[in-house]
This record gives sequence, C-alpha cells and structure tokens, in this order.
Amino acid sequence: MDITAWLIQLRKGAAELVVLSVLSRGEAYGLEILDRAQSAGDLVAEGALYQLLNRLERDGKLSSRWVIDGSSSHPRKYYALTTEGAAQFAAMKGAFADFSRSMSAILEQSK
Amino acid sequence: MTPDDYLRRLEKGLKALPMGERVRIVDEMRSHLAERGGVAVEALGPPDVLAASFLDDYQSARGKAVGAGAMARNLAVVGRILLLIVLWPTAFAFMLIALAGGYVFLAQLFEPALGHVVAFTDPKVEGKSVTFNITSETPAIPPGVIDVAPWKIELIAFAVFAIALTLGVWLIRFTIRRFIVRPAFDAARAKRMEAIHAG
Repeated sequence: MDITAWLIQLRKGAAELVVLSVLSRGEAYGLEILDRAQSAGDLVAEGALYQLLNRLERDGKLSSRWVIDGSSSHPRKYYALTTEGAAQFAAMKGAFADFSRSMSAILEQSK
Repeated sequence: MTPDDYLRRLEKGLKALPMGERVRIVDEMRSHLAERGGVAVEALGPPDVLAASFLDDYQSARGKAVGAGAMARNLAVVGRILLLIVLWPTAFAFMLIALAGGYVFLAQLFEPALGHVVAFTDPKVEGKSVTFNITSETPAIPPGVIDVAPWKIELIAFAVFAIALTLGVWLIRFTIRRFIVRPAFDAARAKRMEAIHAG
C-alpha cells in the first residue's frame, strides 16, 4: 500500500514545528534551516520551506534581517524567533509531546 | 532550467503580489539558488507552482485580515451575489452604450450608408437642449436651429465608445476572474499544496 500521500500530510502538519524548533536554537538563514531540519530526517520539503518562512514572518512569529558577510558572495536572509514565535513553539512542542505519547500508547496496544 | 530562468519564471508567477512582497521573495530565492546552485532548481519544484503557493498564502492572509468565521463567510457569499446582480447588468449597459457610440461614430464616417446622424440646438427653446436625429434619408434641419458640427458628433461618439467599451470589458473580465476563475483556482489550490510539500 502506498503511504506517500499520508506521509506528505504528516510532513505538512509538522513543518511549522520543525522550523520553529530549528530556530529555537538560534538565528539561521534558509539553507541552514533546511540542512538542520534534514539532518534529522526528511522533515521539510525545500519548496515548502520558503513559503512557510514567509508566512511565519508575516504572522509575526519570525523576524528577519539581511546579512552581507565576507564568508559569502551574496547576502543571506537570517530568521529568528520573535517572542510570539517562541511562545508558539513552546505550546506546539508541549502539544506534540502529548500527541506523541498518545500515539505511542495506541501503537503499543496494537498487534 | 538555469537558476536565472527559474527566477525569471518565478517573478512572472508572482506578478499578482504587491511589488515589495514580490521583490522580497525573489531576492531570497536568488540568494538560495546562488548558494545551492542548479540542484535547487529541481528540489524547489516548478517555479509556477512555487509562485502559486506564495500567492495562495498571501490571499489567505488577506482573507483572514478581512474577517474569517461563518458569519463573515456568509456575508461574503451574499456580497458576491449582490455584486454579480449589479456588475453583470452594468457591464451589459456599458457595452450597449459603447455599441451606440460606435454606431454614431461609424454613421458619421460612412454617411449615408449607415443612416444620417444629426444634432442641433434650437435657440428658441429655453435652456440648452440638443436634439439627436437618426434617419435613413437626408435630414431636414429646421430653420433657425444651430447644426452641431459633424466633427463634434464624431468626437463625442468616439469618446463614448472608447470609455464605455473600456469600462464594459474591464467589468466583464473582473466578474469572470472573481466568479469563475477564482473558484477553479481554489479547487486547484489543494493540489498545488500537495505538490509543494511532496518535495
């Protein structure tokens, strides 16, 4: 049975939490966020990342600044959590932990 | 597709966004492609799909700002119906006016093939009044009246035709986009989101 479509939905639902989680460790630019997310697994699609960052910034969860530094030939847009974003992350993290516990419980009962 | 081609197509797809928003997105994608190179072109997915996802988000955000919830949605539906009831007849009226203006303009140019159009003012009548006459025979201008010069009639007729046609066409395009294209766009939106998140 092909579970690709289901995995896509799962990834869609978790994408925001993944991005907020990465940024909770500190400021990062797009490619850096992608690399950190993908180091843990196939969690965020490259095409979806920037749309998500754009939306989170518009919603006030992230702030951004352009940085031109000597290590790169082009400017980079760095993102950071705002106070609202940090609160959102904390709430989502807690909710996901509860969800994860419930899922583990139900899966342990299955054959 | 080269990164430059990708950015060009992306920017084209984002035309509907305000310039500031569009520039921000394109600048960021340019930075990403500069660092990732050609590999990113495939990983990001088709530029028109990516552009559409940004547009979807922007339009959702605008919808939220105007007002979400059942009440607002119901009011939006009522508003749309009223808009349709008002806009279509208005567009039709503009097209009829354009047709009339066009006829008068052409009649003046190709007289007498399309009939005669004359306009005159009668100084004996109190207040300014202009009488129009469209006849198939050479018109008889009553004595003592002032014949409005044909070039003035042509000028006015052309202006009426041009303005009414512009407004009519704009209204028709607006209502088609709003009431036909938009629902189809919404229906395809979910598919685009799937494609983006599939990676």
